Amino acid sequence: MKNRLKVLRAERDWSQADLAERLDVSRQSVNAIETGKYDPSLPLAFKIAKLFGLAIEQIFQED
Amino acid sequence: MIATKNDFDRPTRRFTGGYLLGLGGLGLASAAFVAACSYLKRQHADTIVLVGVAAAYGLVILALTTYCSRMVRRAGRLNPSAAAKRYRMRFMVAITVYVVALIGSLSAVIQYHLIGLVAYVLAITPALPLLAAIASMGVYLHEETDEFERAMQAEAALWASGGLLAVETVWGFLELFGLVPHIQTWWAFAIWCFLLAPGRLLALRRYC
Repeated sequence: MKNRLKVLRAERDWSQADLAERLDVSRQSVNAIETGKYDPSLPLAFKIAKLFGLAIEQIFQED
Repeated sequence: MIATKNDFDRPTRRFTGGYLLGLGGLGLASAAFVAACSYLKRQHADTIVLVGVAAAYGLVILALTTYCSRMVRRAGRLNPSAAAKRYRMRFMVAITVYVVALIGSLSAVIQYHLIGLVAYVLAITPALPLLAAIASMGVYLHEETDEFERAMQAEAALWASGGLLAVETVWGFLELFGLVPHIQTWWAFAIWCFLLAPGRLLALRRYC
């Protein structure tokens, strides 16, 4: 699954650690999600969407 | 390419080195322990010497585990979750109790030539903290709120379980044909724990 996490993070000048802290997950988790190697669960996807004030489909797209 | 600050790198050489050092060190320490025990047995050494060797082995294992896990955490710039910290603490306490229980039970049974129910109870005593260590892993998976960490730990456990089954199966047949010595089944937990480290490394390599 593709995602815009890196772009959204860059827009806010957040590091992976910053985003991880806001989501209450590890930096490794953010890295794995961002690089598309790990697909987050629905609750985590909702949490990410809420943090950026966007809908899930505006952040995550099918390959 | 979007530039963002402090991006997480792939596991570094130091990171892998920490795992390999831990794994190699544990293997070497265990081999030295087994060799020392078998030598001392042939020499009919005093119980106190055997207990001393077992205590030294326990201390080496504890020191090596602590050093290598610290090295891996620093190299990977990992910030363990509260659940992971609790798990490590429980596991280390269980292993420390195990070492003490093993030394105590062994020396009591050998020293006083205990038999019957007391011997059974003392024989099972060292297994109890190991059961607690196994349970602490289950508790960790339940308590971990970071789903990625949980998935990685579960994958590492699957790799370790598969590896253990492979090792036991191959060894069993080698033993059946009289090509290798018998291994006592309590080694299964130790082997599984050894295999957790490469299992986690494989999981990390896949995702990071």
